[in-house]
Amino acid sequence: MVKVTFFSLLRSKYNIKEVFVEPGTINDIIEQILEQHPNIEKSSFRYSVVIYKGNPIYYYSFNIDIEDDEEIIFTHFVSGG
Amino acid sequence: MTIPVRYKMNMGVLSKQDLLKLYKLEVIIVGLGGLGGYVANQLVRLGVKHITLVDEDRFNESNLNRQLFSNEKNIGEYKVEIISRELNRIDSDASIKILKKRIQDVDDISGDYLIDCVDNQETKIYLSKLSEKLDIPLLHGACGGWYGQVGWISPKCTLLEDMYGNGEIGLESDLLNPAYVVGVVASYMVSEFTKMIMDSPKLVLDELLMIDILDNSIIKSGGKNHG
Repeated sequence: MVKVTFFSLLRSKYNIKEVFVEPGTINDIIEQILEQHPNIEKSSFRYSVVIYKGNPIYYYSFNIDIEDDEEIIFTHFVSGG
Repeated sequence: MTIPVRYKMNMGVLSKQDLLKLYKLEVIIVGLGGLGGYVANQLVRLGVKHITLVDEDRFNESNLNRQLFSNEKNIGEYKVEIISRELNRIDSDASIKILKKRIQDVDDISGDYLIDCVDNQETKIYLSKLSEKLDIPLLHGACGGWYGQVGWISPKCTLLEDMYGNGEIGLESDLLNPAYVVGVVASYMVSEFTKMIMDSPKLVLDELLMIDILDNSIIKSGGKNHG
């Protein structure tokens, strides 16, 4: 299973900290999350960033594969000072 | 070496050697808005004696909600001038250089550590590249809404370029910047600064400490494979 952690805005908005899904691309993972939690708006993911192995991944690269036993974080970045 | 009374309350976590290090090193703080004011204040109270402040802005009314040294009387004045004066009121021995310009317009600058307190992605990326050029580590901080992020970036690490280089907009564009989040994030930055001085293995290096004050939770982004 892939461990998916929700952080910052997504966590606050949907009151979900983590979910477990089958391996697949990030797009596949989003579909599985939407099946588990139909109240989540798909557009919420469009503006999020995925942290995978410490690297930020944006929506245009959500076709990347996440393997079994890996972890990803859905979050948002900030740049204010 | 006798510990000055002003630093005695720091010495539960710092050693004399740490304090001597703090006395000698030169810190460059870029951006003297929300984060920068708090960071500069805490660094001087920690024992840092040599600081360069870089910011071209003047205080305005919208700064009053969160910028530590802003007040109704100094609206319209240069932030670096006001903050330099205030820091010397805390420690008259501190040597504070000021540069009233954008960091991109500074031709010659040197120091031991670079601190990112700026409020825009373009300058954050510039600072990451400047860190590589000067071969000194960059302490990154950013905040927006209930959220913040903090971490040391080593000179060859591209994490900030990877994070900010795609043109996406940060949460602060909608959620803006309340004072309490700025204070928390700045304090985490100074905490990480202290760990660097102490050579602590707990340092957050080439990854981000991600802070969610609404949920009262903090996680690390993980990974150290940038650059």
